[in-house]
Amino acid sequence: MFRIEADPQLCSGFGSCAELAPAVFQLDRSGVVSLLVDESDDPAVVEAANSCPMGAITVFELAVESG
Amino acid sequence: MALPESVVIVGAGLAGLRTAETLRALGYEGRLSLVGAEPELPYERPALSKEFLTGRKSQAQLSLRSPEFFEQEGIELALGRRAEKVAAGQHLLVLDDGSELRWDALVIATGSRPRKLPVQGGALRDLIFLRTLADALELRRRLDEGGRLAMIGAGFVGTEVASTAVARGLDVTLVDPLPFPFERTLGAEVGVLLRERYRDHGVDLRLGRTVSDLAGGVGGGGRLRLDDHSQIEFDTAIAGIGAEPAGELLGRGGIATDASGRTKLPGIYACGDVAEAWRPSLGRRLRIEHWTNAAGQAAAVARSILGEECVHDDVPFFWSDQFGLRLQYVGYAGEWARVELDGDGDSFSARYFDERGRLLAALAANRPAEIAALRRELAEPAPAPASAPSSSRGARSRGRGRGLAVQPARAAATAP
Repeated sequence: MFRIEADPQLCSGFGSCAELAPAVFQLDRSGVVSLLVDESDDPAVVEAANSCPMGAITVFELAVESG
Repeated sequence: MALPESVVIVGAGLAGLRTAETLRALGYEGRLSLVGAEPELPYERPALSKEFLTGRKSQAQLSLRSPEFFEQEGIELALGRRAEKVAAGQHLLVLDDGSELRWDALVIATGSRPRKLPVQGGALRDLIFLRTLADALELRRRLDEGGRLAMIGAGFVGTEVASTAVARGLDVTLVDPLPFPFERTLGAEVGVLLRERYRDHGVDLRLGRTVSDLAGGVGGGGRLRLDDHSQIEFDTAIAGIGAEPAGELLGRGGIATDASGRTKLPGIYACGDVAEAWRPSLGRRLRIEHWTNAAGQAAAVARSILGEECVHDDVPFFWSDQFGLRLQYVGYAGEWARVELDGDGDSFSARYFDERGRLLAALAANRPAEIAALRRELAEPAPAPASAPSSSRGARSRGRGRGLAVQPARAAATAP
C-alpha cells in the first residue's frame, strides 16, 4: 500500500502521472495535479512519481500489517 | 540471456542514478557500481540555474538520494573519480587512480559539458561555465556580491541566470549572435516576444553580436569586446553557449545507440545527454539534453541489461523558468514550415507544423493547462503511454521524493 503526496506548487502540468495512474492523479482545468485518493496499492503510482520532471510527487510505501 | 554478474555505470547524474535504481527495482542482485567525476552524491541538475540560484532551494534539497539509500540498495559508489579508459575486450573500466572495475555490462551516462568560448583572454580563467554544483555555488556567491553581470549566450542557462540576476538587482548584459533569443529552436515569432520581455525587465541586450575578446584581472572583473568594437565592463562574466557530449570513453562526440540504449559494442550501453539514440518516431538518431529523456532512457537501458526488449521513444519535453514565464516545450522540431502563435508576452503558445500540416512541437508560456493535451497529441499514433516503456506495471521502483523515497518492498514485507 502506498501513501501519495503531490505538491501543486511544484507541478508543471506535464501530465504523465494522470496517464500512468488515472485512478489516483488528475489534472484540474488549469493543468495542475490533484489527488483523487491519497492511498493506493497500484505500483503505477511509483512510476508516476518517477516520471514527474518537477519531482512534485512523493510516494511512501506503508508497512504491511501482519496477521 | 544470462544476467550480468556485474554492472558498472559511469556518470552519477540522473541517467546513471536511474539506471542503477531501476536495475535494483527490477530485482537485479548482482554487483552494481556507480562512478561519478563530481564529489557529490547524485543531485538535481536543472535546479542549478533555477531554484538553487534564486535561493529557493538549498544544496541539501538538490540531493536525489540519501547516503543510506545507496547502502541499502547495495550500490557501490566511486565519487570524485573520473573514468579514463574502457578496455572493451577485457571488460574493464580504468579509473583515474589506476584502479580497475570489471563489468559484464557497462553503462556510459557521462552527460555533457559546457562548450568553451572560442576566444582568448586573461579573464577566461574567471569566466564561469555553469554545469556543476561547484559552478553554481561560485555563481551564487558572485550574485550575492551584486554588480555587473555579463552573460554570454542567450540559451536556456543564460536566460535563466540573467532572469535571476536581474531579480536580485544586478545590472545584466546579455550577448548572443542571433538577432532574436532562441531563433533557431523557437523561431523569430517567439524570439520577438522574448526579446521584448527581457528588455522590459531591464536587460541590456546585445543581440546579433559575438565576443571578439575578453580582458580582465585575476579574481573577477574585466571587459568584453564585441565584434562591433563595443565594450562591456563586468564584475562577473558567465558563458552559456551550449553543451557537448562527454563521450570520449568511446571516441568522439555523442555515443550512438539503438532505441534501447545499446551501443555497437557488446555489453556497453549509453543513456542521457551523451547518448545519440535512435528515435523510431523521428526516423533518426538524436541527442537530447533533457531531464525526461535521461530518466526515460535510463529505465530502458536497465530493462535492456536484464534482457527485456524495451524501446525508449517518448515525446521530448523541457521547461525553463525565466522573467516570470514558465516555458514548456514538447516535441521536436529541428525545422518547421509554419508557426501558429496565440496570446501575448505574458501568456502564449506556439505550435510548429511541417509542410504537410503535421504538428511537430509546441511551446507553452504560462499555459500549463495546454501541455498534457499537446504531449498526448504529439505522442500519437504510438499507443503506448508517454513515460518510460513499462511492460511490467508491477515492477517495483521508488519515488523521487527528497530523502523520503519509497522503502524497498522486500524490507516492508519482512516488517513485523
